[in-house]
Amino acid sequence: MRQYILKRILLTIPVLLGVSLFIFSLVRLVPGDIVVLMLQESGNVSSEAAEQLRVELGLDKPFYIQYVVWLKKVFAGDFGESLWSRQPVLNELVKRIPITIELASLSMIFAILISIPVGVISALKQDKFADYAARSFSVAGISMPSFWIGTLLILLPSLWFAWSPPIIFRPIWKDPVSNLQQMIFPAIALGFNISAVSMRMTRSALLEVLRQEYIRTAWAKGLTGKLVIMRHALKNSMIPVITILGNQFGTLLGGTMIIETVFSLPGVGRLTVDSIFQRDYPQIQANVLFIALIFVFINLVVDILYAWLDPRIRYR
Amino acid sequence: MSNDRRGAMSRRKFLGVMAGTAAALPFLDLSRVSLAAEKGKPKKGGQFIFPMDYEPVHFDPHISTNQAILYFTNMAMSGLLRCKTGLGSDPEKWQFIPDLAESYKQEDEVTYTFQLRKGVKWHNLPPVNGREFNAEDVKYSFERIATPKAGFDRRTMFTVVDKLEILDNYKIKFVLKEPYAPFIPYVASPFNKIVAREVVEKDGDAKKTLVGTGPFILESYDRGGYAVWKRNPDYFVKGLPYLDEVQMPVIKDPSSIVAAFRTKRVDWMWTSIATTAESVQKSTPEAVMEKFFDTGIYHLAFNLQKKPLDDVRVRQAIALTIDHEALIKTAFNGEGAKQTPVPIGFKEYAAPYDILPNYTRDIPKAKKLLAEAGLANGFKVTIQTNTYYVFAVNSLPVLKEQLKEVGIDAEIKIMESAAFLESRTRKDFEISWMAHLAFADPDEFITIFYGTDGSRNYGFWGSPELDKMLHQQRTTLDHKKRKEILYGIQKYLATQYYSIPTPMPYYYEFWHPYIKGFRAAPPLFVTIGFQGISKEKA
Repeated sequence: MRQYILKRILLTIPVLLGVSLFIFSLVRLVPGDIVVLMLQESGNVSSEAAEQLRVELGLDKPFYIQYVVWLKKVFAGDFGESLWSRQPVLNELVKRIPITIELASLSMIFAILISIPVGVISALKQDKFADYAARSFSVAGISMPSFWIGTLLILLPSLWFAWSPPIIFRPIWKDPVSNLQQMIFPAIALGFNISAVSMRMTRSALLEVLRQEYIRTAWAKGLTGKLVIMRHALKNSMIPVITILGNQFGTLLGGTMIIETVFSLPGVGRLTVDSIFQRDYPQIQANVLFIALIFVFINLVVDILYAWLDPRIRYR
Repeated sequence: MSNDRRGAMSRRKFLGVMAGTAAALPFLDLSRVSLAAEKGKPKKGGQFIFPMDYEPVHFDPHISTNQAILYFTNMAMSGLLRCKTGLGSDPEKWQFIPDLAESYKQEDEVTYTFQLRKGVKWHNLPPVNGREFNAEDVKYSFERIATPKAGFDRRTMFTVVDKLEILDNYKIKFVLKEPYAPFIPYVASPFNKIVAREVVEKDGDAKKTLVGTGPFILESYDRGGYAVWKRNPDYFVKGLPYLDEVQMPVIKDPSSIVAAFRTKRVDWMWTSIATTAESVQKSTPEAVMEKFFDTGIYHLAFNLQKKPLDDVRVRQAIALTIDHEALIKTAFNGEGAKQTPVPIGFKEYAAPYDILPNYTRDIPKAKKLLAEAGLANGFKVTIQTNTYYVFAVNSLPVLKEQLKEVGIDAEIKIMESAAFLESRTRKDFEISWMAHLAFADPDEFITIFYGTDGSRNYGFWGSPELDKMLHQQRTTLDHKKRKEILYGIQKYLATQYYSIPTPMPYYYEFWHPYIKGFRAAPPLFVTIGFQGISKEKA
């Protein structure tokens, strides 16, 4: 297992290199030249002024030289400076990571707390009212975009209860009450879609496991329903659920971009959106690399969880 | 947690309100709310929360045309003159009052002497460390604004300055090359702030360090989060500001701003969408609302290097096809007005519609003009705009149908902001629906856009004849005569149609009644007014 984990960690490097090259190219291919964007505030842009700024920003060199220079700095821990503020991009990114991690974690916790119990109930009460209700909830959750749910969660409480979330972000260690008041609705908005997908997977995985012979044996032995479900059936049905949750984490990270903007949370997602609009290449590159790293890490954790859940699974 | 249950309502009631709002939309009166006379002394202290929908990317007012920067520089910095704000001001009638200059005198047609305030201190922050402001600072700033270098967009405002003479530490004289009607509005422009030489010498520009002589000092700014301002204890207007603190949280989502305003998480908000204004007015009836027209402009700009748009008959035909009232009804829910070549926000200078040619929809005439231009069967054209220009985005489908009536097949291209701005700057468009911030004077718009060497001449516009008229209006100090020349320029522009001005929405500003001393002001200088406001409740 240790060897497997080490192998997976080493494999992260080529993955991240590939991501870095992809994003480095993509931002430069998108219409909207940052040099023109920076100078357009002053009206018509002369080619001399544009060229001068291009040299100042280091954008005059051929693409492959820019990439190699940037990559060398990255290996030395320097992700470059924001082209707008001229501050190190890592400063801004590091400041925002805890907010996005907290949002993603709360969303995942919400999704798990809803999807697994609802999925279990739906499977146990197959074709009864509870099952239909749960499946309707699932369809609704899959259909409704997270930004729409988010907007409703902002507007409706303000109209019905004269309440809205706090607008100034306070870290959880400084003001846990204000922090949770601000985070709970975005976590619900983001986690709702994931919970709907995971609920369906929980339901179908559990139904399949419940049909297995060893479960019939357990019932025949006279074990209580709680024991049969919790000790025997649930654990074995979790593998596909964990796969789905792991895959959904990518959706969740992408969703933070929209939800952080809707709820005015100063996280990595919103920083990435702003950087894209401003064509702040170094910031975009750093942010995307961070998201890719998190995604790869989560996938590794999911694989390790498989091994814990199912002793038959062993990696080399 | 504020759990004020006033205003709480059941879901049924909410749906009823929404249905009623929708039914009442054409009839709900969004007249300017009359402001009750404020009594009593302003209360000192308190915190004002102002939501920022845009963030400044830097703090240098001399090299920016972005209004987000002004949210900050208006708080920390001062100019020689400034726009009047607060009680007694009118957002549709800009008045210029002393700021760092306690008075000025126009000695003759080309000479202005400014008497500066004594004892004014820069903020007690490095690198200025609370030193006294003086005439050297003024000379430095105005010479910097006029730097002949890309980035200094407003240099053309002051190329007319022949000499800047320091008479003594507190007196400075501007001698102009010729009479210059917009001189005072330009001096008072919120962008033309006095900056400290030490800051520029230390950093190479004023982008990173924000110090000034203004009423507030920036205590902290968490980019993407919020800015905190504290009262400047050494502000040169004794007794001001009343507020202890101003917080500026960054809230980009319009629904969040509305919800935050309803629940008093923020004390002020603005919108230019009539349905949002109506909804806020209904759900927060106690809030004060004021609406006005800004001096900005939306316009359909033609690229004269693209055929057949180089033919004036084609441009006139397009102008004659547009039904402005229909656009106002669709995009603005009936709350807006037809625009004029000089923005209608400049009430005295905007020409009345009935004197402008080609301003009334006339399909037969439009078809005739196209036939004369050899385009009786119409032609294809691309109209692009920016996703941020909500009114243009909402109006384009309506405009497309209108143009079809004369055989023009318009392809709509809604572009992401950076791509749009690049295409505009590179002049890589056929028709571009543009939007521009408020201007301090009509000259600022018509000269930089329509002058043949205007810094924002995006479409190869202008002519020697127009340049002559532009110069004439600029050098005519007599208000009546200048107005006549500006009317003439607008008639010319309504014939040449380098661009077609398109309808203007209202700006609606809301604030809670416990905020005293506030009047609506254009976003360009709304934060200047914070020095004079007070908050009744803590």
